[in-house]
Parts: sequence; C-alpha cells; structure tokens
Amino acid sequence: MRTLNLVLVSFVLIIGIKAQTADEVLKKMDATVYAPKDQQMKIKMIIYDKTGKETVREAFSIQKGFDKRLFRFTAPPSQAGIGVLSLPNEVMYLYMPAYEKERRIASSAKNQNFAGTDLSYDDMESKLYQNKYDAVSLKSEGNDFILELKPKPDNKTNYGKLIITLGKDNFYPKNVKYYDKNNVQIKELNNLKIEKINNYWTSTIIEMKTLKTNTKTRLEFTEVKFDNGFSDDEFTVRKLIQK
Amino acid sequence: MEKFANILLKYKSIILLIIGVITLFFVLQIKDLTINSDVTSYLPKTDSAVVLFNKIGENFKGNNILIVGYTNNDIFTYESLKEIKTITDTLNTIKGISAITSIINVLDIRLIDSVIHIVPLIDEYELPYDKHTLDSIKNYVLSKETYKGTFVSDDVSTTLITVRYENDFSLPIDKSLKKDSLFDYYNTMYPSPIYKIEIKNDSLFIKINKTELTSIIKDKLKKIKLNGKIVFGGMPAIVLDLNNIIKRDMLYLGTIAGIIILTILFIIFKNWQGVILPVLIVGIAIAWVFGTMSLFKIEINMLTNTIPVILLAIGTAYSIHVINRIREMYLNGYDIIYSIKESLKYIIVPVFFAALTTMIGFISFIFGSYLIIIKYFGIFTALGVFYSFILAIIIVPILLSYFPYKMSEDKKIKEKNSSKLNYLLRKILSLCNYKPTATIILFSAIFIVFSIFIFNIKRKVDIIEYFKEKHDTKISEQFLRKQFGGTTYMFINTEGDAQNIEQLKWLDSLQQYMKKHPLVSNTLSIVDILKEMNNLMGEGKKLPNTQQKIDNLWFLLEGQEQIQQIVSSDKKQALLQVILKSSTNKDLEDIINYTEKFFKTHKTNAFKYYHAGYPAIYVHLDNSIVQSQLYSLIIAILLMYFIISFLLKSLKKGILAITPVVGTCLLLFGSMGLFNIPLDIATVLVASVSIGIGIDYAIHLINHISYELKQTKNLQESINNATLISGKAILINVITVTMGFLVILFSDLTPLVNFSILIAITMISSGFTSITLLPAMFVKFLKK
Repeated sequence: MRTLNLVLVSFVLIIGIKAQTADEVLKKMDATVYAPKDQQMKIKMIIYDKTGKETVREAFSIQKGFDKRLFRFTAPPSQAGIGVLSLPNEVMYLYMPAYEKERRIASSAKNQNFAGTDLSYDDMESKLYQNKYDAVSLKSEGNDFILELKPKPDNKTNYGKLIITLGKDNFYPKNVKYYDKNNVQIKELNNLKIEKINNYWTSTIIEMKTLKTNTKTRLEFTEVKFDNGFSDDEFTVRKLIQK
Repeated sequence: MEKFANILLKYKSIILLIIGVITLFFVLQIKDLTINSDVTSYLPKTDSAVVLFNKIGENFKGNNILIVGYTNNDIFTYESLKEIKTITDTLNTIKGISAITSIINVLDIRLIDSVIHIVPLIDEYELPYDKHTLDSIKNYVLSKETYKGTFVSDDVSTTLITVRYENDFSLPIDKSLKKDSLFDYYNTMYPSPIYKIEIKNDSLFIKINKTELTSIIKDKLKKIKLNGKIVFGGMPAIVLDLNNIIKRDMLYLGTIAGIIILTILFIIFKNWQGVILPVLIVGIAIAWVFGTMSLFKIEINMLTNTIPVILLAIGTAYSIHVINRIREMYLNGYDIIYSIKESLKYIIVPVFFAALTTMIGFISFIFGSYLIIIKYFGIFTALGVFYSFILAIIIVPILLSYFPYKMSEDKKIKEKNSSKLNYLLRKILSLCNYKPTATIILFSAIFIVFSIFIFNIKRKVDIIEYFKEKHDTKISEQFLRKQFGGTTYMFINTEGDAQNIEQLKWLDSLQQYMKKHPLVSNTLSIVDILKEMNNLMGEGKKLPNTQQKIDNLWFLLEGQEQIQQIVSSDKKQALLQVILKSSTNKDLEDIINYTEKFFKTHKTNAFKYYHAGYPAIYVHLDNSIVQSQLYSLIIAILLMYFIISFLLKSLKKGILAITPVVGTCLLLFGSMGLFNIPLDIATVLVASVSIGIGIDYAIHLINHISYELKQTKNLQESINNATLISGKAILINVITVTMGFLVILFSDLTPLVNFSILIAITMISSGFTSITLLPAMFVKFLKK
C-alpha cells in the first residue's frame, strides 16, 4: 500500500512538474512577444488567393501595452485614411474619412477575417496567450519547444488547440498550427524573419496560411521602433479622426 | 457467306477464346466507370449557358448550392438552435465546401445606441435559452427582409443552411516537391474521394466530386441524433438522388428485364439454346459497351444507363433471327451443320442491314443533337448494336454447332406446327391477303387520328419533374420551394469594377426591377449590404452617394464569407442572386425575356453584364431537345430510305418499307400529345429508336419476301412463307422487347417511365404494321 501511495504521489508530482514547465514556457513566450512597452511600424499586407494572385495593402500602426492600438491604412488609395482604434475592454472605434465620422464598433465577430486577410480579428488581438489559453503539454525537439495550448472555457474561439514551435534560446514562436474543435488543422502561421530590434525579439515577416481555402497572407513590417514613449493621448478618438 | 460459315466452324475454338479474352478485358475496365447526372454536363462545355454558369462558380465561391433544411415546431428554442449549431459544426468538418451559411454563423450588422454591432446573429458560444431573448431574436429575424423567407420560413418552423461547393480549380505545381512526395502532399491537402487530382503541364487540375461530397454530407448529417428533421434540396441533392436511381435501375431493372426476356424466350422456344443464346450475346455486348465507355472515360448518365435494357431489347433480335432461321431449317429435317451453313448464307445480309439501319437511327443523334448526353447515348447504343450483331452471327452458329438441338422427328413436326404464334400469324395473313385495301385504310385512319394530337405535345426540362410524385426528393424539394419560395437560383453578373458607384447604381436598378416580377421570391446583392451599412453611418437606407463612401464601407465588408458569394475576390464582379418561385420552362423563359428587356433598355459599355444559372441552362436544353428531335428524325428517315431502297434495289419498295415506320412515328407523337407525355431529355430519343427498330422488321420481311419470290415465283405464297418465318421472329422480338422495356416502368425517373411506355407503343405499332400493313401494301401495290 505504501509503495502504491509512493508511486501515485510520484506520478502526480511528475504531471505537476510537466504542467508547470509548460506554463512557464507559455509565460516566457508571452514575456518575449509582449516585452516592448510600445511599438510603431509600417505594415505591408500581401494577400494571396488560392491561385497565387496577390493584393497589396499598406498601413501604419502604433501600439501601447497589450490593449491600445491605432491602425491606419495608407494604401490602396481607396482605403487610405481608414483608421481603427482598439481600446481596453474590447472598445473599438472605426473612422471612415469619406463620411468624416467615427463609429464605435462592438464586434464579437472575432473569427471573421480582418480586412480580407487570412488573419482573424482573434489572431490580430494583442492579448497574452496565457489569458486566452491553457498550456496542456510541452515537448522538447532539438533546439525547439513544442507547446500545446487549449482555449480557456470562456474563450469564444473557433480554435480547438494551438501547437506552437518556439526556440529554446529566445522563446519566440517560429510556427503556430491552429486546429479546429475536431482536431483538424485549419491554419498555419510562420514567423519567417525573427530578429532582434532594440533588444526585443520580433518577427518582421509573418505568413499565415488557411489550409482549407489554400490562401495565404504575408505581413512585412518595416521601420519597426520600440519604446517610443507614447502617451495615452495618442490613442483617443480625437487622434483617430485626425487625418 | 459460305466461306464465312466455313471459317467460323473451322476455327470455332480459337474464335471463342478470342471473344472470351476480349470480354474479360472489357469487364476489367468496367470497375472504373463513373456516374454523372449533372444537368450542366448535358450541354456541350462550350455552350454559352454552361460557360457563364461555370464562370459564376469560379468567381463566387461555387455555383453548386446544397440546401439543408432544418425543420422543427419552432426553430427559436434552445434545443433547435443547438441542433442547428451541431449541423453547422458538422458541415464545417467536411472538405470541399467553400461556404456554409446558417442562422448560427450569419453575421449581423446593426446599430444599437449609436454603436455599430457586428455580431453573429446568434452567439454560437452562448446559445440563448430564456424565452425573452429567444422571442426578441425571433421578432428581429422576422422584421428583416434579408432573413425572413430567406433563412427562416414565415411560420418559423424551418431554417435553411446553404452549403456552397468549391469549384474545380487549377494550381501551379509546387516545384520544391519531388514526384513521390508531390502526390502525397496534394493527396493530403485534397483527399479523395472528394477531390480528384489531374496533372496538366505545369499545373494541377483539382476536380471536386460533387456527388461524392453530397453523399458524404448526407451520411454525416443523418448520423446526428436530432429531434428536428433534415431535408435536402437544391441541385446537388437532386443529382445525387438521380445517380442513386441510375445505379438501382441498372442493377435491379436490368436484372428483372433479363429474367423477363429469358422467361418469354423459354415459353416461345422451349429449348435452352433459344433462351440462353440471345441473352448471353447481349450480356457480352453490354460488357463490351461499358468497357469501351470506361476506356474512353465516358461517364454513365441518365440516358446511357438505359443501354443495357435497350440492348436486351434490340440486341436480342439479331440472335433471335439467326436462331429462328437455323431452327426452322432444322425443323424441316436438315442436320444442324447444314442448317447453320445454309441459314448464315441467307440471314447475315438482312441482319446486317437491320443492325446498320438501327445503328443509323442512333448515330443520327450524333449529327442531329446538340446535347452531349444524347450524343453519347447515340454513339454507345449504336456501338452496342454493332457488338450485338457481330456476336450474334459469330457466337450463335458456333455454340449451336457445339450444342445442337436434340429433337425426335415427331417432336420436330409438333414444334413446327403447334406454335400459337403460327396460328396468330395465319389469322393475320388471311386478313391482309383478302382485305388489303381495308387494312391500308384502317391503318391510315389510325395514323391520321393520332397525328391530330401531335400539336398537344408539351416540353419539359425541369429536373425535379424527373422524379415521380411521391419520391422523397420531389417531396423535399417541393417542401423547400413552398417554405422559401424556391431553390432555383438565377445569377446576374456585372463585370467591371464591383466597387464602382455607376456599376452599383445599375445593379440597384436591376435589383428593384427584378423584385417586381411575380416569379421572383428573393434577391440578394452587395447593394443590399451597402445600403444597410450606409444607414448605419447615418445616411439612410440607400446607396452611398459618393465613390469614397463606398470605398470606405468596403473595408468593413472585406473578408466576410458571405460577401465572397456576391462579390468576386478581385472585386471586379458583383453578382445579383435571384431566387425563383418556379422552374417550369414557360416561367424560366419568361424571366429570361424579362431580364433581357432590362439589358436592352439599360445598355452600357462601362461594364459587362449577363445572366446565368439554371434558367438559361434549362432554356438551352429545351431548345436543344426540339432541335435534336427534328434533325435526328430527318437524318434518320432519309438515310434509312436510301439504304433500304439500295438493299431492295427499288425506290418504290423503299417507300413501302418506310411507310409503316413513318406511320409509327405519327402514332408515337400523337400518343405523346394524347396521353400528356412531355418531350423531354429521354422521350426525345424514342422516335429515332423506333425508326431503327421499325425498319429492322421491314427489312427482314421484305428481304424474306424477295427471297421466297425467287424460289416460288408466287407473290402470295412468298408473302405467306415470309410472314410465317420472319413474322414469327418479329413477333417474338416485339413481345420480348415490349416486356423488357416495360420493366423501366418501375424506374423512379418519370422521363424513363415515359420512355418505356413510348417504346412499348412503338414496338407494338412497328411490329404489327410490319406483319399486317406491309404485306397488305405488297398485295395491293406489287401484285403485278
């Protein structure tokens, strides 16, 4: 009996250590990805349809912390000037220059694709992974960790699980595989160019593929600057409607 | 001919072995045959209606829309919504689907307290369960034109889930992949049986097996335990059911027809040679035809699936004539080898011409018909006739030489004289010989009376009318049409710049115009959505008044799955979807004329515009059917007249031979008018089939009369002898063919049922005119 208890205790301990390790890796990943206090960048979005035909959009974005972001399109001309301001508690404002009006948007359509790209509003969200997902397993493969995440019960996502491959050296994700609730992989994200800018690890080329439609979106970030000291005033409706 | 008979009998073992090997080869090919009941494949790929329809499919997330109807007492209950979510989730797991739209995933944009809410109509993660919330959603849905009658029936008992199928597409081959891993990679990405991958030069052509996809969807959804009921509608569901019926018809009806023919032959011949041989030969011919079809990658459709039954009917005639001739000689006291040699000398020529004229009847479809499905039917039935002919003149003599009749002299005499058919034929002969004028007048009167009804013939191409009244498919489709005002989609496409304000204004006028037509139950275009959004921006429910505003609104729309069904991904094309309440020919033609009237009064060169979809396809089919009928008939009659005149070396005899055939055609079309049998994809074939069969009889009889005339120099005696021998074979054929075709009466497809009725009419008419009117005309016009 005593032996059995010992085995059980050891087993629970091993499980505990594993879970803790997975959690730790998840936290370290969050800490790496969301390390900068603020950031600004130019974004080029290249959207490929299933035959390989491409559409290009350009935007400029500033972000402070996890939940304040101003996103303004600069090209094509028909969409230039359109701005999206995201604030805490899922408050979002949209500015349409042609109407010269802003409108508050309450969107729970997180699973819809953002502006015709392969990234959903959910993917674009700057929210710590650990707040949305639980780390359920961790494997070590060469220089990488393979981390499996499952959505928390209150997370209204289409994803059933995420498999993230991240470097042991920098804890920055190299590849993310997205699975649906039936455990079928539906999307794949690749961080194609991971580099260190101002002491922060970041990916300046991201590619997201939607496997079902065989479409992909490539995001190229340039003029990336961190820790610019943005004040909260930069993230107001007044700033949003300023051309 | 004697040489042929000698060679045949000398090398009989080798010949049988060769036939056996060829048959085995063809049988092995059959497993690769596929079935295709897609209406669009009836027309040539280059047909404008097909080209435009496919173009719509390529640009707007597919043109094949499966309708899944979910019905319960009230769909706005927690239980019902949960079941709808389960159905939507299940559909989401299936590959090959480009878009699913249900009340669970439809995105709703509305203004509440000055805040634009872009939310799913129903939150799938927190399905409402309290009555107050459910009632408020119900009232909201019923208040919106875009939902009421489109997604949800007026009595809230039924909701629709539209499932769009991916279209076939090409992909450049990923050159980084080596040949071995190439197929593994693409097969994982596009698994069979939903996808079929073909390599064409540097790209992959990926085809969607729509029937397989529908079958998988139906199977998966049927496995879900539900309190509500699921019904399927739309073209994919109909096509799948058609395929299943085709399979069933081929298996069961083919077998039953075979058994019936075997039984009748046994009753008539009372020996196994007369029973087994005709069916065996046709069986081999059928295997050869389907083997050939498989070799050429020709799919089975709702017409070619009748080939086995048609060959059982027509193809047996050649063996029956050969067997009958050998048997008659044998009964006259000759030994079997001599009977075979002498019979072959005589019988090959008439059987050859009978086969040739029948083949011409079918081949006339190749030149006379615009419809691919009819062309293939013509080619492969003609080929089957050819195979049956060749096999009849080879296998029958060889097998009879191996297994000769064994009859005592007494039995031979008894057999020769006691036949009931002989008795019937003698009665007929006495009537025609003694009252030829009365016979001719009687038949002429019948033909004239029936021809009056020709003008009553109606045309029908609505695919749902192919099913019998109580068939599940028809009931489901009619239920959905009743609840949602139709499942027939018409597409009107504008091609230029879908965001351009002028193009959108034009589309708006068109949409308003279409809504006024009483046959239109619903419309949807990007204009509806832009108006809705412009309203949210505080400028009223109308199209934005500047180009910039439209451009700005577009930002919110991009990437939404539902938008991709009405705007092409390159944003050059904007589509107007029109759902029609009816799919009868007359109504579809009316709606097309109505649409084209708008095109004429609102001409513009700024962008292209056209309509596509099933209305145009049906109208093209309808016109082609009439055209097919007319051209095929003229070609067939003319060709047959010349051939038969050549064979009989007399233009006058040619006219006599063709008269019963033309008379039968009049009787046939008259019957269609009289019994309300429409001219459709299957019944359009009957006239040419009947000409082929009718001319067979005339050839056998006239040829036999000519042969007897040389021997006896007495016309009356020649007519009597010919009618007793060849007339008997004709009667045997009429009875077996008619009974064989009547089996198709049990098919679930109305055109095939009508087809079998008409063939039965044509057989009886051709048979009886050949052994009554034809001898009477000979007595009357050729006596001197």
